[in-house]
This record gives sequence, C-alpha cells and structure tokens, in this order.
Amino acid sequence: MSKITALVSKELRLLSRDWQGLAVLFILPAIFILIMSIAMQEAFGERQAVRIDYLLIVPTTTEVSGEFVRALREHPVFRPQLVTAAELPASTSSDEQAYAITVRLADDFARRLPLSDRGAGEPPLLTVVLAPTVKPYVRELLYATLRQAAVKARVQQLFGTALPPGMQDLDAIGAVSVQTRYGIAAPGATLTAGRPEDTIAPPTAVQQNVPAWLIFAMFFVIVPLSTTFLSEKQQGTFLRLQLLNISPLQSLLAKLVPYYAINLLQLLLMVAVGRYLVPLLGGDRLNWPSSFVGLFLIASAVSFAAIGFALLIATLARTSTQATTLGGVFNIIFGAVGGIMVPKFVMPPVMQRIADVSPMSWALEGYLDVFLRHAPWSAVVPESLALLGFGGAMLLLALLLFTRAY
Amino acid sequence: MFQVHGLSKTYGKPPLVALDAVDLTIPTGSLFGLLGPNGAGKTTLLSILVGLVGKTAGEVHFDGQAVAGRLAAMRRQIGFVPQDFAFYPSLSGRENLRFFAAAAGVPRAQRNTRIDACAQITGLNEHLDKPAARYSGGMKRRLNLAIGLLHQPRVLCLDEPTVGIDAHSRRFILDRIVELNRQGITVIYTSHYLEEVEQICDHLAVIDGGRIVLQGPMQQLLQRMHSGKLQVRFAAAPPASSLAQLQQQGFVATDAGGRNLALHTPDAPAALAALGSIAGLAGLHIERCHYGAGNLEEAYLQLLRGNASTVEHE
Repeated sequence: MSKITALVSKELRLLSRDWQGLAVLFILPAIFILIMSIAMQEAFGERQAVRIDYLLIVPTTTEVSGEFVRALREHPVFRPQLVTAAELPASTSSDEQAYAITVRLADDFARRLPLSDRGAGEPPLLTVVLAPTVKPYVRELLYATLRQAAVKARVQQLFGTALPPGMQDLDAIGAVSVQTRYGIAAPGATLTAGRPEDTIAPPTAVQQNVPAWLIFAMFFVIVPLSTTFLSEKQQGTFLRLQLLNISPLQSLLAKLVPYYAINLLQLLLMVAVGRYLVPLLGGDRLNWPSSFVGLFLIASAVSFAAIGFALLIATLARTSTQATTLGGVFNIIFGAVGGIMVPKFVMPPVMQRIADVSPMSWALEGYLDVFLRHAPWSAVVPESLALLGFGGAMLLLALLLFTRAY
Repeated sequence: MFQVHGLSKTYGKPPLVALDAVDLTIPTGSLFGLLGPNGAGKTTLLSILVGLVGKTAGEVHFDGQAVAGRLAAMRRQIGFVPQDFAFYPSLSGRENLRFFAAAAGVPRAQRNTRIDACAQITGLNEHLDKPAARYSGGMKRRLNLAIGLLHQPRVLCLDEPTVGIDAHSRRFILDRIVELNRQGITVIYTSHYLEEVEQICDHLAVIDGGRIVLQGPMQQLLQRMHSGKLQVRFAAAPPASSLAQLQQQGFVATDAGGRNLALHTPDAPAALAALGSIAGLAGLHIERCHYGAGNLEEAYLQLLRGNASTVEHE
C-alpha cells in the first residue's frame, strides 16, 4: 500500500510541476466554454425554436389546400415538406421512409375542408402516419397544429361571404377528422433517432458547451500522462521500479488515481465556469444537475474511459510527441464525431448514428441526462456502463502491452 | 554471489544468439568489471542476473540458490544504477530520493536517515532541494547512484556510471564505488572506460559475441595475458649476425630494422640470460627491456583481436 501511495504521490507532484499539461487540462477548456457559450448563444437560442420536419402529401394544389399549407408553414415548429400526390409515385417510398411524420390530405380535401365534418362519417380528411416512437405530446402538438391550420383555411375560405351558423362554434370549425396509423413510417426517421426529447428541447449554449468541452478536456489527460509515462519508459525509470518489485499493474493503477482526481477537479471547475463565469459575461447560467449522484457517476465513468484510452496510447507510442499527436488526433476525431464540436442534434441522421460509436458521444448523452433532461441518476447508468466497458478494455490492452514491454 | 552455468539467451525468429552457454562466477565482495564491445551481450547478461530478462537456457544462482522462484527476494538485495538518468527531472533530489525510498520499501521511520546517508555518500547534501533538472551531469550521475543505494543493497549493479561527466566527477564516483565495495557491497561494473575498470575492479570478465572469453582476478589476468612476453629495444639496430642468433633463440623482430624484438616464453630468466650473452658479445646496448603485465586496454584489444578464432576460459 505504501508503494502505491508513493507512486500516486509522485504522479501528483509531477503533475503539479507540469504547467503546460495543467494549462491544457484546465485553462483551455475553460476558455473554450466561455467563448463557445457566449459566441453560440444566439445560434442555440434559435435552435430552441424546435424544428420538426414532416412530409405533407397534398392531392393537388387548390386555393383551399394552398391556404391550409400556408397556415401550416407559418408554424414555428412543425415544418411541412410538401409533395403532391402526382409526384408521389416516384418519391413515396424514400420520402415516407425518411420522415417520422407523414400527413396525407384526402383527395377531396379542398371540397370538404370548408364544411364541418364532425360526425359526418365520411373518410378522414387527413391521414397522419407516425413512427412508433413519436411521443404522444408531439402527436398532440401536431394535431393542434393541423386543427389550427384548418381553422385558418376555413375562415379564409369563408371570409367575405356570409358567415354560416357553424362559425359561432369554434370547436366545430376546428373539428377535423384525422385518422392515425402507427408503424408505417420508418422508426429510424428524423424525429425518432435516439431521444425525441432532443428535438423537442435542445440544450442551451452553456448546457451543450460545458459538458462537451469538459469531456474533451477529460480525454486530454493523455498529454501530461503520456509525457510522464514515456519519459519513465525511455529513461529507464520503469526498469528501476521493476527492480524495486513494482509490477506493471501497480505502475498503471497508480496513474488512475491522480488523473481521476484531476478529472473531478476539471468537472468542478467547468461547472463553476458555466454556473458563475459565463453569466457574468452575458451568457446563460448553467443549471444545477438534476442528480449530483448521476453527475458523479457519469464523470467517474468518463474519467475511467479517458485514462484507459490515454494509457493505451502511451503504451503504444514510442515517443511523447507520437503519443500526444496520436492522442490529440483521436480526441479530435472522437470530439468531432461525438457531438462535442458540432452538437449532435444539428447533425443529419446518418451522422447521428455515426456519433453513437464515439465514447465522447456516450459521455455527452450522460451529462445531458442530468443537465438538460432532468433525469434521475439511474438514467446515466447505460452510458456509464458503456464508458466503463470501454475504459476497462483500453486498460486491459494497455496492461498486456505494457507487461510485454516492461 | 552469482554463479552462472550454461546461460543462453536467444531473441526472435530466426533466433539471434545474445548469450551462448555462459559460465560465470561473481565472487561475494568483489568489484567485478564486465567488459565487452557494443552488442557483445553485457546488457543481456546483466539484465538476466538482476531478473529483468528471462533466460533461454542455463542456471543462475544467487547466494548459492537458484534465482527462479525467489526473484523478488533477490531484487531486494540488488541496487541497480542504469546508464540513463532514471529519475524525475522535475522533482528535487530529495523528492526523488523520498519516492524511490518508499518504492523500494524502506520503512517510513528510516527514510530520512537513508536519504541523508545516501546524499552524504554521493556528496549531494547541499543540493537536495534543487530540481534534478538543474543538476550538472556529474550531479545527475551521483543522484542516479544515490537512488541505487537507498535500500542498502548487498549488490550494486552499475551500468556505465561515469558516461559523459568531467574528470572531477568521475574521480568522485569511482572513489565512492571503491569505498562502497570496501564496506562489503559486491559491485558489478560495466564501462567502456578500460582504465576505470583496471583502476577499481579486482575481478574481470570479458564478453564477446555472447561468450565469456576471459574471466578471473584482475592482476592474474593481466599477468597471464602478458606472462610469456619479453620485449626488448636496442639503442641501435643489431647487426645481421646478432639478429640471426637472437632469432635462433626465438626472438621475433617487431619492426623492419630489428631494433625491437619480442619473445614469448614461460622461462624469463633463461631468455634474459641468452639475450644478455648475445648482446654482450656483440656490444649491443639494450635501451629497454620489459617482461610481464601490460595495461588492460592493450590486453583487451589483443584479446578481442585474437578472439575471432580463439576463445579462452579461465
């Protein structure tokens, strides 16, 4: 135990003297958070006006359906992608597969829309096809939108002529027969990839940037870790430690503790930056997480993954330049793909699926669970387990390689 | 201290022979010099002795017992000083010593005493609180040595401990090594500086091509290597008749004029008598006559030149 304590204490001393490494770990991400949170505040604000694209199939363009479509287009959230029935045969399968929501107007839509069809017993005026994973509240919002557009179209149609008695009954004006079917639209379509909530409530700039750059910074432990590791390897210090009966496992484990502590310090600092410094400079204030236990859990898992990965790179590399270059390149790729540099919710569906292979994406999802989705601690368990698995695999590989070379 | 029998080590495929059936004895309390050209197998041998590298065949005994199965116990008795500066430059000398003392398992209560003692031995006590990165080359070598002494080893393995330092620091380190050896520590010393080895070592082994080509007590080896050689230099080249007489006695001219002659003989008095008689009769003036031990460098180079075809074992 005293040997491990000595190794840990030595690592902490080395880290405390490594100003460049500390700058990369603490100052750089703090600056990134400040700049990105403030610079992207407006962009993220606009993003909060959620956009949900859906396919709208109209029979033909008539004045009535045109009015209906115009009303639909005014809606800030639901954005119709118009296709006429005539165009449909060529595009139907691919288009319908691409959208989680498809709305089809009846062939006699223009004729029947001005009429209140409540209880008419006729075929539905609109058919809405939803992917199975579309949340009920999204569905209800969509219905409200359709009804509102129908009202506008009807009023527009009837305006200037004598108002029929039915106009006195707004419910009757708004009554639109809608038939809903599930399971036809592709489950992997726009709205349903991953978490529908993402589309509904994307993060603010600070909610995105604090976890994102925190994760990035946590993975950058590779810089000080590999510098120390490779100088120990090259200068024969590991050889000396081996002769002092310190095993490769002890040498590697001793590096976990101080860098884990560093990662937790990064967490505290970056949350503090988001909570106190960003608002001072005019940005949004980062809310407290919904679960501190969840935050600690996901941060610990990210740390384990980051250190495991850093150790693997350090054991693979021959020089510290090679390690920092290799580690840096991997981190940037993980970050670019995983929604760190470009938020995942603005990515096209294909990229969102690719993002899921990046451990930084798992980490970000975990942080967003507690900072954005107000989820309980149990929500971060899947992401934490994935990160622990990744870290464990990296550490095991590093140990195998290191033992062979020790 | 160490007994090695039939030790072999091969690397890779096809196998590259690093050590070939090495037999070696390192006596307890000796200051043992291990010499050999680059790639001869010194580092491999040293690495196997201290348990850093596994052997392909053969046996290594430490204190009369096979090392296998008691590696950790053996290592606790060995202080290893690698050629590289195997410490942390950003830590001070004291922090380095404190860390390595703890890593070596020196009890907490004894650490400061050991650190002070090792700093005293290596003359670093005035500089312990400076970062090691700011040490001179000589001070870094001394810190390297001090770390190897922290756990009071019985054996000290020194791999080129004086590379790249000035004469003063070299002298200091060599004196300390001799002093440590006098205190009872067995020292295994590898160096490319032959005069150092000759100066401080009492035992020697020469390794070449993975084989021990010479080993034994230093003085005996030097004498043995030069034991039969009588070298004569005349003030002037002898006349042909005298040269012929000397050649009949077995002398060989080592220069064109025959002014320098040499004779390999186990019977020095008889050879000297014959030389005196011939020189006296011809009125030749002997300028210099030398019989027996030369220096290590001369012997070493002679040995390696001859080793291409001959391998000697003591």
